[in-house]
Amino acid sequence: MAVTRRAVSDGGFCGRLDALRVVVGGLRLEHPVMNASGVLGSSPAGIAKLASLGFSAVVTKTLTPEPREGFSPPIIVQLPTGGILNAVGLANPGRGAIPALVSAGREAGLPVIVSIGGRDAGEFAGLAEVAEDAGAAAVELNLSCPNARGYGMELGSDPRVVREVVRAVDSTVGIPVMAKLGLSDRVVESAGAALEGGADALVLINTVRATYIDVYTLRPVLTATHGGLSGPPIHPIAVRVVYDVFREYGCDIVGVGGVHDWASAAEFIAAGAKAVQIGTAVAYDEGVVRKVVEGLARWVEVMGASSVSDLVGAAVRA
Amino acid sequence: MAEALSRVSVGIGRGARPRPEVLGLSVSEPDHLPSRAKDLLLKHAVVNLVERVSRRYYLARLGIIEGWFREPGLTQFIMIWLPGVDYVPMSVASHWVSGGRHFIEILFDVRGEGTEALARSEGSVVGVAGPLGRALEVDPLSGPHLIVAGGSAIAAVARIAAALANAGSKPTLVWGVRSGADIGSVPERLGLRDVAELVLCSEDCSVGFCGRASDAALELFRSRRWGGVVLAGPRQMLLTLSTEMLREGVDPIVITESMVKCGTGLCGECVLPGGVTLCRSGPAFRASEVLNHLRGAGGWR
Repeated sequence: MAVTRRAVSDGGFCGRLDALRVVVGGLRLEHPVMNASGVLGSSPAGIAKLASLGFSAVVTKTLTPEPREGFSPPIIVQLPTGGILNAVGLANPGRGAIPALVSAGREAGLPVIVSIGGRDAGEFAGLAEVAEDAGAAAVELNLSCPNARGYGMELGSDPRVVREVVRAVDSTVGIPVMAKLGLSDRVVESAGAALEGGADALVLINTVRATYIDVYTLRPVLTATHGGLSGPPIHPIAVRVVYDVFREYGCDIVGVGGVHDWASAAEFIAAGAKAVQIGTAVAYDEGVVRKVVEGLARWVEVMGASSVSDLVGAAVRA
Repeated sequence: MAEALSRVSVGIGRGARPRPEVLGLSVSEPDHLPSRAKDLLLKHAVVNLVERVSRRYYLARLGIIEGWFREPGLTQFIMIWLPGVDYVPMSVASHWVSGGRHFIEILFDVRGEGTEALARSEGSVVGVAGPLGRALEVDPLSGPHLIVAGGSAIAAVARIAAALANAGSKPTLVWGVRSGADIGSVPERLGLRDVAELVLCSEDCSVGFCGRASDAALELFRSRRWGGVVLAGPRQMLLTLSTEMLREGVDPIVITESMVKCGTGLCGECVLPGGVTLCRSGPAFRASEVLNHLRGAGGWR
């Protein structure tokens, strides 16, 4: 570690930002905080917006082979119990948009992880090829969206399919392959299948299927009835999954679900995540990424570690 | 769709519609949420009144049930949930508090399922998220203001005119419509003549200035020195006026046409070129900030 850059000083204590450099799934990052797929990344303007928020890598919205319109509004609603419920329905501009999205991220000087979603292994492999050709730093396989029939969770909850999809992508492209899995009874098994298929890292977890009903009009608020719950309410669930998967396999993990401050990010790292993703918290505070990064830098110093990597999985008991 | 709403208004239980405002029952303030989350949360409103105020426009009055609704700043907007039908962004044409309850009036024309349902929603309970977007601050001391609105965008500027008038700086307000029949009682219902020097324009030449609002506005713009200029309306009108005014060294405030889908800043539908999110940082911008958007560049749709 050569030159030590100082984070924003607060109360006389500074954290070292260079202690936050991580390598996850073979991908080198300036710090461990990237965005969660689904937030903003469906247009070059959205990618530019993500880059401006301070993420170390940008993850695109999930691209499918053909454009998808998704559901009619309401598609994203705040919940009175905290967190956000969404059923966007994988709305996206299709694979033809991948080169422009990757270019927008690279123009901002950031690695671009292209999230892809297919209905079978062949579609995933085809999309991954387009992403690699466009200059993506990695692909994230959406094996966990709970809101689109024939996609996401319908594939990711079957370990056999997970293995097949990851293997097809891994044998097609040379860039890192990250498999994003959601909450299911067999998530640890699916994680193992993804690793067997050749995944370089696992992204855990996606939103959790949930429902919000309005008590006066007696209707589900989302057009799609059910949606995916995100934000602080799912954080302990996601930490549990990261913990269990890290304990089982000791693999590279990106923790997602309810990160809203440095402590909720640090918890993921202690559970075994090398990096985290933030989505919902951006709706409340566009400065959240910088606050999390600065907080993590100070946490590393407070814990007496030389690098955040030293704290990965520190809470996990064999 | 109309059937969906009628279920809401008359089809609950044994035929009674919910009347939470009468029973004094409302959803408690979620103190555990940050204020931004409270703004995003759906509150409830009874649609007290829907009135056709001209050939084209409807005025609806919403009585918000939850007293903890936050007063909308100038140009802040709301999202209205028409249960089972749509979720639509709306400008706040007027707002007041009476008996501890917030009331909002909106002005709209029927353009699709959502606004059609809204036109039939009198007596119904609807959801209201907001206030959303960034509040505009105007400076009445900077000199006289020129405000230009095209069509239903008059709703987005009515409170700006009132705020300036209340501060002793009655603005000049140019309102352009396609036909004089679109005007109806809108100026009276929004109190426009009380708060502004009103210049009406009709493209069919039946009322006021004969032609587009942008033509009348440019004449007025060049006729004197203005302390501030505010534009609201269709993209082409904003582009025409912004381009001319920027060329003459004035950077007007433009209130961009709503293309908001979720209102949270997450879905990415309203991100403008350069990465500005309309639903959070807008809808009011300096013209120089959004010129590329006005030229038609933007998202993937």
